[in-house]
Amino acid sequence: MLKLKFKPWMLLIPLLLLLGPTSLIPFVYAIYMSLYRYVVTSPAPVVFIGLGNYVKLFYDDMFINALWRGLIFAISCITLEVALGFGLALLLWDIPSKLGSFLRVMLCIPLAAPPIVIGTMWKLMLNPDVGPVPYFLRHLNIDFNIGESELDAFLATLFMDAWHWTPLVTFILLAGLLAIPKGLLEVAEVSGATFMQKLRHVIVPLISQQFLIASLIRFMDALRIFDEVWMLTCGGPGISTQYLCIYIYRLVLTQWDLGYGSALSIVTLYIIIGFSMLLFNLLLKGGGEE
Amino acid sequence: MMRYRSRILIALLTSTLILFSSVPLVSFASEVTIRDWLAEVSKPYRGITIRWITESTPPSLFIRDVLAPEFEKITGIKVEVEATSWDEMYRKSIADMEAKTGIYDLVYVEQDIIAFYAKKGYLTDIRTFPKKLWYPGYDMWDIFSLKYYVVDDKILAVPFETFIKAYAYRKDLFNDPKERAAFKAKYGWELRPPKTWEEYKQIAEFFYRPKENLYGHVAQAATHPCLFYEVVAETILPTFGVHYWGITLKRRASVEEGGSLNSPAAVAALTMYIDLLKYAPPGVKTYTWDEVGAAWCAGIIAQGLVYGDQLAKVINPKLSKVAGKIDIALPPVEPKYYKGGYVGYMDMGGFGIPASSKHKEAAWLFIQWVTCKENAARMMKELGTSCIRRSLLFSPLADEIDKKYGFHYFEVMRKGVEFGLFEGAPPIPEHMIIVDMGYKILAKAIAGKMTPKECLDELAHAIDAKFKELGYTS
Repeated sequence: MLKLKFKPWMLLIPLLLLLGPTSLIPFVYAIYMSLYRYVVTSPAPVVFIGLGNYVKLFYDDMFINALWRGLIFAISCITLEVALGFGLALLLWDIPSKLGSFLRVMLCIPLAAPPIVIGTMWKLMLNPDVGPVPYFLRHLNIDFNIGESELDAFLATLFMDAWHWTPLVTFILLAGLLAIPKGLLEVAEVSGATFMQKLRHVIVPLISQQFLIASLIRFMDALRIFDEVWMLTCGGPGISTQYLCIYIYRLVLTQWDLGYGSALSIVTLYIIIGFSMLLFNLLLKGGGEE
Repeated sequence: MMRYRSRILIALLTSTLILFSSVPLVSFASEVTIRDWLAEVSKPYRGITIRWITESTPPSLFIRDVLAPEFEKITGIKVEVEATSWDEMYRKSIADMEAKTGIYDLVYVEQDIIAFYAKKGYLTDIRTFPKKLWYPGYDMWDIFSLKYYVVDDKILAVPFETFIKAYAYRKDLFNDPKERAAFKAKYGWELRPPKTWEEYKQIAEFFYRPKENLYGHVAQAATHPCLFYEVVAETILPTFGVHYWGITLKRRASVEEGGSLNSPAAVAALTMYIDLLKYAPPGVKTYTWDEVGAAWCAGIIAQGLVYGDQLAKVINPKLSKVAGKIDIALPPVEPKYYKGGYVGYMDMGGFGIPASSKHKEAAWLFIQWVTCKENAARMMKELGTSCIRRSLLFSPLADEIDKKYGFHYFEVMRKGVEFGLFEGAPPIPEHMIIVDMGYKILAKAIAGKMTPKECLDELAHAIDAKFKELGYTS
């Protein structure tokens, strides 16, 4: 009986042995560090300040700016990527198998590219001096300059993220679409439902779980974006694209403020968890009502 | 009498013997080549590997590709060189030295970081090496920028590259009779390198021809530490009379606390800097030092400030469209505010041996190999813009190189060294904190989010607050 009771825990031991050193210990160490004023680049001594770093967060304009801009970016990303991804999934759903396979492979290309490569690629494309995008836009009398305009820089990060991750949303939604029983759609058709009616009353409710998963993954990823934006704008112009992780990076690896950086990392983790749970509940509630 | 004579004879013979036997010793000391000396002294270290992390500057690459393999051949000590970007180099070296992991036996030490490294006790004092490990013909104090690496009487690093950031211009354009006539007709004075920022602005305006893909100005105005360096540290504020970052010895930056970072002179300097950006290429606000170098190489810039290591690329015909068309002069100043002092930046990179290194002595031998007179001259000849030794800077070799590239770089550098016109950074241990805070605030003014006055007020007060937080009482 005792053996049976402990068996599940024993089965978890290999996983716990793996997670302990790789996740738990660094996390606990980060909490420990967050209670100290520890700036490597300063000759000032390391001092225990309790929750001082957490209190500082409330008065840190840079943090509030990074959080606010990060949220706008994440919400814009999921809106754009889910809309585009759903459109593409619908297109791929009906395409004959050979062409469909080819297009799916093509869609995999952005997913296979490392974020740092994507950042570099977009940086070259959007370079105000020699990039093809600003060049062609100039012919349309549009001055697109990511070094000059905050809006342009924000849009650049948004489109770059959408280009990179929309295929993922497409694949998640396509998996949902392919799982819809054909009979249901035929019944709707026989009943005289238009395409929009089928979409609203049959397709979307049936793949609401896929919408939920895709939105959640993308929201979490977008909130902690770093590599591509760092390559493309370095957080500029000014601090207009300095999202949360770029700010943390600067604190920890440029200013070497390990204490405050640790506090910020922990708070960011809980912000992401909090907003993700909120989104999860909202979407689940929306799906349930359908 | 005989006894005395024989004594005198013996004394004479002995002294003659001593004299003659010491002659070869003296001549050995001065004539033994560094190769022979290294081959002998490195025997105990054969077969080991030393690791060096450095910024990917032209001298670093020359050392990696030429001098390190030669050193390995002579000594049997392998040198692994990790040449990477400026920020990556800092991250890796600081992480290694802070954690005392001993991964690196040599780190790249920029002069401006030395005060911080010294405070943290990261580096080994070069003076502590035993005499037998000093090459007799090394002449260390001939390295003129070595003084910047001496902290509390300890030599913490040895420079292997020294450049200046000077004013550069396209002499083919400046000497073109048509351009000169048109310029004189428009502005009423002969086209020549500017002495004041007002003159600089007129030249910038004159050469601003976007349709011809030519621009009158260039700057490193990206949201990046380079922005702080250019505006506050290197040329812009100093030529308006605000030196040493406008920060006092008591670590205060604002005028209210005795500093000058938000003084009228500093505000005028930043206003001018922002105003000049309109004459630069459209992407200037994404430019770091690398893009500035690339824009020069592409032949789209008529004048601007440029680092010596970037200039090395601009004068290289394989990399540049304007090789042979560039000349150098002292940066302009603002006569209303500038009353003397340095006008530009002396950019230095040195070898430091981390206290955590496991092969300190082998690393020291490598340093001497790279920075000895023979190899310093080779690097100077090969790269054209770096010189570390006074004896070379004031030698015919410097003139030969100036002649070869058709510029006055070393002439300007000589003036700089003689009259203190180019300086390194002030010894502020919190250097990195200030730079990181600084460029983000400056970037807001560059993006037009605040006026230069608001920007410098915010920056000066933020620096004061940071120093207070770090325990500096006024």
